Amino acid sequence: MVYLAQNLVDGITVGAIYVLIALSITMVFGLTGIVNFAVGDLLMVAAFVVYTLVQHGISFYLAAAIAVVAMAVFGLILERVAFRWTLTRPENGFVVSLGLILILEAAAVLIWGTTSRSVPTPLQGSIHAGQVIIGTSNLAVLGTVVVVTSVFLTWLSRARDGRALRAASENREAAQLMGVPTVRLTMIVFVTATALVGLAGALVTTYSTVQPFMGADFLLIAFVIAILGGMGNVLGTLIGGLVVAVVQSLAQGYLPLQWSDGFVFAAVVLMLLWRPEGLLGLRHG
Amino acid sequence: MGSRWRTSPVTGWLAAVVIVVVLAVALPGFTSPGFLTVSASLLVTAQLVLSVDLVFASIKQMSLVHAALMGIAAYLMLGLQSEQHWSFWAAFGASIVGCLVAAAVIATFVFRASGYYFAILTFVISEIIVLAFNNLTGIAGGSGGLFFFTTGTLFGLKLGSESVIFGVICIATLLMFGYVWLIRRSSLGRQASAIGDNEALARAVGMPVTWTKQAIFIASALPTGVAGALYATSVGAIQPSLFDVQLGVAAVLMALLGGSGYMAGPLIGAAIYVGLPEVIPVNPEVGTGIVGLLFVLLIRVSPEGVAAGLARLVRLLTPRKKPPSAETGAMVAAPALHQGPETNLRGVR
Repeated sequence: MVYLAQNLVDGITVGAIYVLIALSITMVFGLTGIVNFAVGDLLMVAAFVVYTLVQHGISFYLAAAIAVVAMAVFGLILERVAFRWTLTRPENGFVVSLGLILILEAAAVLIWGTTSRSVPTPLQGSIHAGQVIIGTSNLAVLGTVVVVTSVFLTWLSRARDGRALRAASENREAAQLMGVPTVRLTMIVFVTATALVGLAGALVTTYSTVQPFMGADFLLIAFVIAILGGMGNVLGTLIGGLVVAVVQSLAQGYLPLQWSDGFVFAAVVLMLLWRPEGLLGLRHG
Repeated sequence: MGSRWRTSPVTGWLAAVVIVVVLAVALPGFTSPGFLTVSASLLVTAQLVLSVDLVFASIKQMSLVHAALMGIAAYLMLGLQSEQHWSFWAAFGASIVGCLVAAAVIATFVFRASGYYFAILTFVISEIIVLAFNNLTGIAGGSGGLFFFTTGTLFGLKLGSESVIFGVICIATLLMFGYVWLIRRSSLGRQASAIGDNEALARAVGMPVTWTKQAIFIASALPTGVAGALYATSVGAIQPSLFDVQLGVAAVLMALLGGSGYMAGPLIGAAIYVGLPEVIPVNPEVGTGIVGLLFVLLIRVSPEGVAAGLARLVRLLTPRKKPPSAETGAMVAAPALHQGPETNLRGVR
């Protein structure tokens, strides 16, 4: 039981980071129909920004904040330069994102090399809940993700732009006809989505090493979460994240290690066969 | 994107030109194994992209499992020869049948989902297949994979020879392009295209939508199986990572980049993705970055893919026929007017 609880704590912490990436995917897809495969590599860039700043003597917290802001600015540039023209053909946005993967990975290899690097974080130590050990970094990650997603959900439901975003995600053309500024919303979505990935990248450095090809490891599970929740559905993404974290923890705890991913994938297949449009996705007749 | 097949003479000629260029580039390289290896890899990849595009351009579903299906064919090809001592041709046939059977099994349930849910379902199935390659060490050799250099012959020529297997790959590529061309023109291809255009309408008029989707998916596995079997033969050593979902995603990318629905599209897409990094004279990292940048620029210049851009260019450069003068026009129009009512009323009678 203790073993299961320990696995769950670790699994939910990692799942929380996946949720941030999945939120980024689902937001962009919900409004624009673009599947941005480059999120994994944007996370990698954010992690390297944190690494570089910490190496230059800047505190981890400030470095993380700078990385989030830098990624938000990068998101704005990407929207303007790379993605805006693909809005009428979202499948081209997919091609652009794959091109970006190659560009970002090549740039990372040239700048930082292929060696795995670790970031010294101040989040050391742990607390004990019975026999379960909860690391300070686990708590920090979970706390940050809970606060950020709460703020994000409140913004979506209460703020004018948030409600406009939900309307435009339902029907972009109709929202445009009703006076919703979809061009500005697209910009906001890209900035917010990239900032979320930036935050995920900063948090990842608390428990993982950083290297140019780390993006692919996060991409698959984040996409699975986004799809399980129902693409474009923020609440579904949170539930999907929790489900995947629990399934992954169970698999890693009780199955041979080499088959644990297979168990998660099989669960995803069964879930998609049961709910082909995701857990909270709408069924179309 | 319209889902009608782009089978205009222009694109057909473009396909032929690209094949000739590939051969022309490769033939002088019979003495250069590196050149042959790249050309063989390019053509095999083009077959994989052809399969993916058959599904994508017709029923509008993005399959990411075809790379893993190619892996099944490749593993059967080498495994049956090395472990069971089958002959080259028996293993070749069995690997294609195995690939088709795997596609049929997947097709039975995968069409419960559609759109991006279909894509992620195929994504996950692909991961499961590759995981099986990795973990079934007794059958598939685990992460180290399988290796076997064929001893089969064709008309007395050793298939183990790089130039002979390259020739076989060239012929197989032409045959597979012909096969897909025929599928597109068949009633199955036309029904699939209609479903891709408007699934609800196709269902409403009584088309067997799910059956057609399954049939086109299974039909698309033939070039994939041939590609897998020939690729395994040409390289002689395979590992699970060669057929992971990255190749599946890359195949979709190549289809979109080359021009989905164009016969020349898979060849152009594969030439850019596989061939270009080999000819850019810089270090691999910079080369990869340049290729990525090219993807973005090419799709910006020609959003429907490079084949569409080339076809447009050819149309622009081709002198148009002058419109008939008033007198000639009247003379030409007269028989048409005479035949008109019979033709026009055909659907009303």
